[in-house]
Amino acid sequence: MTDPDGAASFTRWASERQQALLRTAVLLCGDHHRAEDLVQHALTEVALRWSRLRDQHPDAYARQVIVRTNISWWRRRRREVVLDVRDGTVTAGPGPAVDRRLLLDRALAQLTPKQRATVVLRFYDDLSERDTAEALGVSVGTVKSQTHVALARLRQAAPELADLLEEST
Amino acid sequence: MTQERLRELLRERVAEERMPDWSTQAWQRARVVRRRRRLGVAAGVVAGTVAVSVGVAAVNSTPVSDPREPGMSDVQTSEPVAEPDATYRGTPVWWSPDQREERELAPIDSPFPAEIDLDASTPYVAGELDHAIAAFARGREVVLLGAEGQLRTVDVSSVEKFTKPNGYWYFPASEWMLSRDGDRLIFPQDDEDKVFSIPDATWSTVPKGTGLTKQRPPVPPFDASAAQQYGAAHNGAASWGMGVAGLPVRDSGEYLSGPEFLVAEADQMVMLAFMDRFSDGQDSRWKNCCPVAGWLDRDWVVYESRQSTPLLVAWRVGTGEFRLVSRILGQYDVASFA
Repeated sequence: MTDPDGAASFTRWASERQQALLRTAVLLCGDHHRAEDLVQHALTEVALRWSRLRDQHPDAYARQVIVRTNISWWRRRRREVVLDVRDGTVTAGPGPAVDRRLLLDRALAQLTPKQRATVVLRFYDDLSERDTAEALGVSVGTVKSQTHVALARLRQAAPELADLLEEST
Repeated sequence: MTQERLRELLRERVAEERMPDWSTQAWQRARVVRRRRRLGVAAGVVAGTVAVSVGVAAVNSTPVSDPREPGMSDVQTSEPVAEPDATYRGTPVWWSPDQREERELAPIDSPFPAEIDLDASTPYVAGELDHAIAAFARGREVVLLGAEGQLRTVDVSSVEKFTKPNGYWYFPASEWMLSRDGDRLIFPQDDEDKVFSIPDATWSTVPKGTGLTKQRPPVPPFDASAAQQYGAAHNGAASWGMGVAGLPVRDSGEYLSGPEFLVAEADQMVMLAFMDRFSDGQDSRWKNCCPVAGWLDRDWVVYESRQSTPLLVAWRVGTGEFRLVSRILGQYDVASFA
């Protein structure tokens, strides 16, 4: 069956991939609605280039759009974002998922958007350092250093989370 | 915290996240964007002739031909994009280009010159114009734009300030000061209306309230009471200020939310939401940015885009097509279009 304008192959790809992209976006920005906007924007950008991307790496391109758009958005709204950051001193209760989720959100909010993106791409999307660097538009060395700093900051910002995880292992 | 535990935690955090399938809309949205970009890079490609009666909705317009994408088959015709960018309470919404994108739009053939340089205006002499197609008030002067692109300045310092019922006063230049047929300037005064006849450059007075003619703006098919209508209404099109919450924008991270908008009566009521890109306080649209200026024909409505470099922009109502009518050089307070 021919697909002259690519609509069928694009919608098939997008339907399959958009939930995964949404999850990455939620981890990057911490807000479901904002994440939906990011995914919609990324899918549109991929659709615009589908004739070229369909035989290459549309996932990587979509992820790159989400990461960079989110960082760009954060720069413009940083004051609002800063106000949203909480102090991270809430005492964790024993183990329920909702507590872990709350602690994780607050810990991630302590990271810069690039540090956060590094953590999400490396440890959620399981990207290599090279692919993470490409998505972020930075060097591999920067990814290494940002990963190190981000993990240290997470431990420091959310010791309850670290303790919680240690206990459950 | 081990890295493996971090992985598990991240996965647990988003395991339940879902969103509606947006794949089809993304493809449609891309078509609209592609089309806009195609129009944008086609500067210099003059569209098919557009009927040129400004201010009056002409009935005989030649359809505008669309520049083709390189490689596109010649037998493929490009229909106007019918899908709106969004809907608001059932009303189709299209998104305007933002204030920067508007400057890069392809031109459209119109009675307006590509540049309206108000500073290049010369004093008006009786008989030079039998009518004007636009008038720009600046202080105690009004610059008339003639049908041949002439720019002529009329001294209106004899016009008195106008006192409103609440006691405030203002200089009565307005979006309605140029008459519908373009042959008079009208200024409300406290006791009467003052009229400047353009063909013979003479002043006269008419009974108070009889000079200005205002059209009734269309009624938006939703509650727009929180937004204020501004500018003149032209044949079923008018603009509103900010205040309608939830009016969708192209990207909430990039554009001001609750934007100003235009409502036009086409086959159905449609909206154009004016995208105001965040620009750190620089280069923003002005408040009441985009009053309706008139119609080029029955398809293309023209709005003033008031920003650092004011523009006249044409929108093909009910489509994603936009064209640049004119750039306006020089400061002015308010413009009125015949």
